[in-house]
Amino acid sequence: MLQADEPSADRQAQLEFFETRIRPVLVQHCYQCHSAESKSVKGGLLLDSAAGLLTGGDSGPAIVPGRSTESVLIHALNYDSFQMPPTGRLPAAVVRDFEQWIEAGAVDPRTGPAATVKKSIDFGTARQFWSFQPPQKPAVPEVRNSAWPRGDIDRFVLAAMEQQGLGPAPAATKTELIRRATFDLLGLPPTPAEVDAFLADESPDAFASLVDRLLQSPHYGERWGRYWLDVARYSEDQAHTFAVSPNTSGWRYRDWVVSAFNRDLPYDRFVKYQIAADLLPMAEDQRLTELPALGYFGLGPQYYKNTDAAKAAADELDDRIDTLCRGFLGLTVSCARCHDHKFDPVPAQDYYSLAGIFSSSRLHTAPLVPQTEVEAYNQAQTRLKELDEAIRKRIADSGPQVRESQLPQVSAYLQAVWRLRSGGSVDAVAQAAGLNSQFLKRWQELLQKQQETNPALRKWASLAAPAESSATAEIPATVVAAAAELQQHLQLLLKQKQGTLTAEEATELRRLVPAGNALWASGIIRKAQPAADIDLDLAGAAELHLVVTNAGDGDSCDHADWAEARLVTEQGELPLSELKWRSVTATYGSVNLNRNVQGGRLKIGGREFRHGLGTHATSHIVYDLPQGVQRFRAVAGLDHSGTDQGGCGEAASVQFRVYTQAPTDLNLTQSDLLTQVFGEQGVFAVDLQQLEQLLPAQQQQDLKAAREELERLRKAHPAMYAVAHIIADGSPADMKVFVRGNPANQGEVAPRRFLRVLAGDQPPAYQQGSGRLQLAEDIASPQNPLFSRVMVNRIWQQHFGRGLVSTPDNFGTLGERPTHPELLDWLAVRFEELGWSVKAMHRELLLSAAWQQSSLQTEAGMAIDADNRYLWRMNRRRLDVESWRDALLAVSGRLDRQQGGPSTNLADDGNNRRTVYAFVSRHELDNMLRLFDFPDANITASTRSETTVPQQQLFVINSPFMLNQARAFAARLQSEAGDDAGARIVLAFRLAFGRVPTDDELQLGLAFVSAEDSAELRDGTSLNRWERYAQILLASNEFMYLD
Amino acid sequence: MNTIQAQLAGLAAGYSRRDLLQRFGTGLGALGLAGLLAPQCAAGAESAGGPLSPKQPMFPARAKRVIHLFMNGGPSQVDTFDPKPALDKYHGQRPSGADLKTERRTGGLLKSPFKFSKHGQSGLEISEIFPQLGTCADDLCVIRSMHTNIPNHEPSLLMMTSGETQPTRPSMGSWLLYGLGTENQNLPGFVVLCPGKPVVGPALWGNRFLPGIYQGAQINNSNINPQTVIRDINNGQVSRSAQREQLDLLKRMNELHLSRRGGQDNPLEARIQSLEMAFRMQTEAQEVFDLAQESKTTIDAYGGGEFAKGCLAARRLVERGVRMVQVFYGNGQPWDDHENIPAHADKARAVDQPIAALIRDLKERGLLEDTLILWGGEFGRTPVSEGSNGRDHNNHGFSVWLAGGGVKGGMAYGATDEFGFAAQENKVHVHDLHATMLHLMGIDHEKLTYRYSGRDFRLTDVHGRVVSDILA
Repeated sequence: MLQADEPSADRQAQLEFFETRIRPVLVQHCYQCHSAESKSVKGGLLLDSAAGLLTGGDSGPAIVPGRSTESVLIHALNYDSFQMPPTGRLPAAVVRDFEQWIEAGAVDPRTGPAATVKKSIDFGTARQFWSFQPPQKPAVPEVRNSAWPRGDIDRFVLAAMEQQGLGPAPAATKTELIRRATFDLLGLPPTPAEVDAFLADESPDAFASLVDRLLQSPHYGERWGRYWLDVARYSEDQAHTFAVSPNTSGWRYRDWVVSAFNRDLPYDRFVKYQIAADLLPMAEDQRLTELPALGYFGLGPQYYKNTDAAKAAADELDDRIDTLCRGFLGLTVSCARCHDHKFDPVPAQDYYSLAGIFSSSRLHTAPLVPQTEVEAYNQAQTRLKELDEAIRKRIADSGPQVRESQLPQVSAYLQAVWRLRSGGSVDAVAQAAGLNSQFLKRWQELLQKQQETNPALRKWASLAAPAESSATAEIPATVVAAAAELQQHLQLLLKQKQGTLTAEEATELRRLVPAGNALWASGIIRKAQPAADIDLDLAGAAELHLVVTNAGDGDSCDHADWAEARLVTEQGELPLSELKWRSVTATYGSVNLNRNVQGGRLKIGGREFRHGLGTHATSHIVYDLPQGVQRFRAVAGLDHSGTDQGGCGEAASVQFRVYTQAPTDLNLTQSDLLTQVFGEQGVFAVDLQQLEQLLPAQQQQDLKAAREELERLRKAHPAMYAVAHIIADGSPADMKVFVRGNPANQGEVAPRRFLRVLAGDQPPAYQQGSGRLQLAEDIASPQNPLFSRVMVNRIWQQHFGRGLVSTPDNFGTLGERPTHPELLDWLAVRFEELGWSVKAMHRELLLSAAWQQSSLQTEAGMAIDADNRYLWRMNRRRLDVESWRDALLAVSGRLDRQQGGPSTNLADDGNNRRTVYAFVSRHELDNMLRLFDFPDANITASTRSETTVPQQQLFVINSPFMLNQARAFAARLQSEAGDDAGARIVLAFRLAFGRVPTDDELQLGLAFVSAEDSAELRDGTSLNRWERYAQILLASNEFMYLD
Repeated sequence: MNTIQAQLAGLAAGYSRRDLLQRFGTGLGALGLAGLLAPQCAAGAESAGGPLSPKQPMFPARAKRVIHLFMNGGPSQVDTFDPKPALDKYHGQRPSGADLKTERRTGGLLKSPFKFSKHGQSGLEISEIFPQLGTCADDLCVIRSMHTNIPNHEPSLLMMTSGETQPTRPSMGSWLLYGLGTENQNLPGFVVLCPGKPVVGPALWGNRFLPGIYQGAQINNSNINPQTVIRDINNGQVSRSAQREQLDLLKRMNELHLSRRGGQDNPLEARIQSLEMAFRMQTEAQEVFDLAQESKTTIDAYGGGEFAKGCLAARRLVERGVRMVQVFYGNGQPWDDHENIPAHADKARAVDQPIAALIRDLKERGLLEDTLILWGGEFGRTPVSEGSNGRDHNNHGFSVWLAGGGVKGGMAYGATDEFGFAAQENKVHVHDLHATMLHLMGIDHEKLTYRYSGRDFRLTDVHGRVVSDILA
């Protein structure tokens, strides 16, 4: 079309326009990034051929010939969506040229197919990268200092040192070793007795037995589980607040992790359970034990979903992928969400292959008991609920009956109100007439308020008051007649509601309803009781007016339906939606036939209707009635399209009214007469308790018996069974690539399967359900070169203070290279040989001479390798906040060693549980945790930042927590060491630091505790000198840092 | 002690210069790392080390500190700073542009219940609900062409504070602390004043993947008691002199401990310093929140109420070198007038005098020229009505204003359409606003990066453009 053989004059002119006005601009401003010659083509867009413009890039076609306003190119030039060229906006005249050119059809002589921009990743080359190579057990290197190594780990470490001209530090002392090992494995300090026993054990296996003892401790899992919880970004809530339901059983995942470490669950199973415990073959009771493992994903962040739910859902998938890949693979696959990973061999398609697995899964709360128990519980619950509701309903149902039973008294109340017009006490008048004074008071208020405005009560405004106040004087006939008429009016309205009006009574009722007033009006309709049934006698009426008012509080969310609106004739029922209306007036939009005002299904109180009228307050629909109409029936109510709109929907309220003549009372905002007298809040309203007392004796007895039965059942009823927050399979389906991460712009299909760099160029697609089972098998596989490496590196990291790869969750191009690549491979293979036993790995590492080095610096070491990358000494480490807090509690003698169960609040005074049991919030992290570098649980974390700031020290010197520990510690010293100051100080050092004090330390301590407080010191100080001394020890660097 | 080493120690004990270079990537370049590694003397003895110590900007800064007056809930532009006479003319009608997607159902155009008039030499048009602010018109740079992504509070609050609609990114205050540190080591560098919690809550001043020390410190300004306003700033059980005695012994013991470890260890030394800093911090931090130290004239100028106290505290904080102060209008989402736009007048009354006083006060003290004030909500409101008298959320167009450090005064930049639905001319996205604010602080928004999860993250993600037209 664009390349005609014989260019017309018009086309010729356009070609000229292109050559003079368009092409030079493209060449000058765009080709650098958008042509075949570009070093790196941006956004997948080529502008150097006609086809390139039409095909477009990641954001779709650049131009739509003939439609400049729909052309992305123009948006970009106008700096609307993109801002192109990035160096500066082009002059308006140039943009107009482009608009003109596109409007004229975008004539473009640059033939040739659009070059393909996509650079495909060469997986073959990519797999040469060190971390994608399968780990091989390397030859153990020769070392010069053959006396030092205790095993192969040490030979690798020493060889690297020797290569750098470094030598190992001396061995740590036994005192240092037991402290280091106990904190490393349990996160707690050794007790003085444990230290003594170890020092006394002179056997060559003393340390190995110590390690074995520590690995048997149930506190081991609390320490090592917590490291994993950082990776799992474990939390029980969400960062935002809108419509969040807390994961109240989230702690079951924490307890599962602790237990998994304690029972030394092999690492491959540890991983598989967290991905697919629900799908792996295992016995039912075992499944119930392992199911909480799925909290790894089931407790993931959930984001705010309202207007842009698609993006929020995509963001949640991103969390799952990020946590999966960084946690188990040490890869930052999230980078491939918007485009192929810029550094690692992960195409965007692979990202969506994984995303498809999680979009095929769903969040689920799973029972941790056999199905029979669940059913027993549910049945009991249902039964309780039914009974409870039945009791309520029985009482509430009797409400109208009780209230309406007052009808015969209406006339007497009205006469009594008249008596009160000349003063007198309500109580006295009520008593004299044998009436309820509360009801009488309400009748009096009703008439006072409405006799001027409400046509049905207007007569009462003109009745003269009695000459004098009297409870007994005779009532004039006019008053008696007016009272009787209103009573009759109400009686007929009641009959109309019940559908028992005779023809004569219907005529009589219409006589009583003043012209232009509603024949029927609903009460105020709200979300709680969103519907009212209508069944009205219309015999003889010529018009039907359907009115919805906003009930006086504004129109917001007042979506109202006249559902199943129909006329009853002798021939049968005629849906109103088949009749043509005479007129409609509505504040908002139009009235919709058989649809709600927003065009959706009519739906009131959860029930859908096929026929009816959808409207919005305030509206007025008028019909001319055909001959022979007898009745009008409908369900009037608030539509879900309004009531589901959050707070606005909760507050929506309307009133429905039906007229047979043009309304004159639309200014009335109060409810109809019937509701005002007999309604739940009407004149005869009684509360539930009163109501029950007004019931017949037999009914009251029945109720009592039912309540007792309910109470008995409640007590016998099984407690709620345990649950876990997990993921389960949903509807399995592949996703399409979201081009540039935009859910609205979908590209090629991404079959659910594993990452190609790890699984081969054409990995098999996952066919079973979501594919999680196959994913688990692929990840936790010896064939996966990253699986073992990533975990041994994490274990190494926690024992030595940094990983052999110092970016434990990034083994990709931008990650760090291992300092000891052969050692890492050796450990990876060794881990597999040890049956993926984490405890066995601890033994390997802790029994090495490398780990048992002293932390002392040497000048030579500092000169060559100040960072200690080559491990010529042990790193001195700061205790993490959990160990530090637990140690404070342990030393002060207050640590509560109870394990597991629901989370505790660290801010609670007297919370002495281990820190691993603290509630971890994504919304607002506990102050102490936050201060001391606990990671943000919104994202997976594999290393903690370690900051030293004065705010931390404010906590140390001033917080009630520290002062409490100081008091308790001082009290413990007194009770365990008695009155001798020296003995107390020695005990203090043994407890706090695992050693006895030196002479100078002892002297400093004695001087401090024995000094007298001056008046200046005493003033405002409630801690005694021992307590202040105790605080100093707890606040010290030695307490916080581990050699 | 060696200052360079101490600073390093403070940031990441156990990490060396080489580690830091790798951790923070080349993106930090001249800024963050140079600041981390170069000795700083600006704050005298207090600056000895620490990740919060002041750092040089990338290029000369026009502003040194930020005060963000956050009108949470979303003030309506057409009733405040973006007059639309067409609304009076077409009141009740529903033009085609009204079909832009917002949160809820809307009706016809709703004229503003308020009158606009011109103020100052510039003739900037401001609604009558801000009479005092009108007198500061020549200092204000109103951006009338703001837009953001989503018409719901939570995502938009997060976008305004962190440049992302989910709670996954550090807040602007955290980025500023990370990039520039703070000038007063005895005070938190990023302070958030709110009488309780706004919607979303702490994620609005969160640090996310940046170190925890960069998180905003929330201060409840409903009742500012200097003794309790900062957690653990006071020790009710040990007097100051008794505490001094404790710290003297602690220091002796820590030094003994250090000397037995060769006398050199960065983290150990840093903590010894840090304890001393904390001791001194107690005095200064209590002093700054003692608003009673102000003269009666000043207190009267700001007027009464929580927001006024917040503004006064903000001035005292920035005066002492705090990098960023955010003052929330109130708890929840108070400007969210879905049902009743005239209620905007009540809220305006609560902020008009304090803000005008703040601008004048900063000016008199010579602080306005390098303090950047941002006023605005998370989005605007629809020119069409919700219910009979309210307005729905509107992300397509809204107004904010800047004042002070490096922006043109008496200016209205950009424009919405005839009715005020959507930004049309010189559109400014929140990312652009962030880029511009960072620019004024001497930071290239594309170069202030933090490597996390394999990517170099920025406040502006992959967006943002400096709005150079509004730079003075």
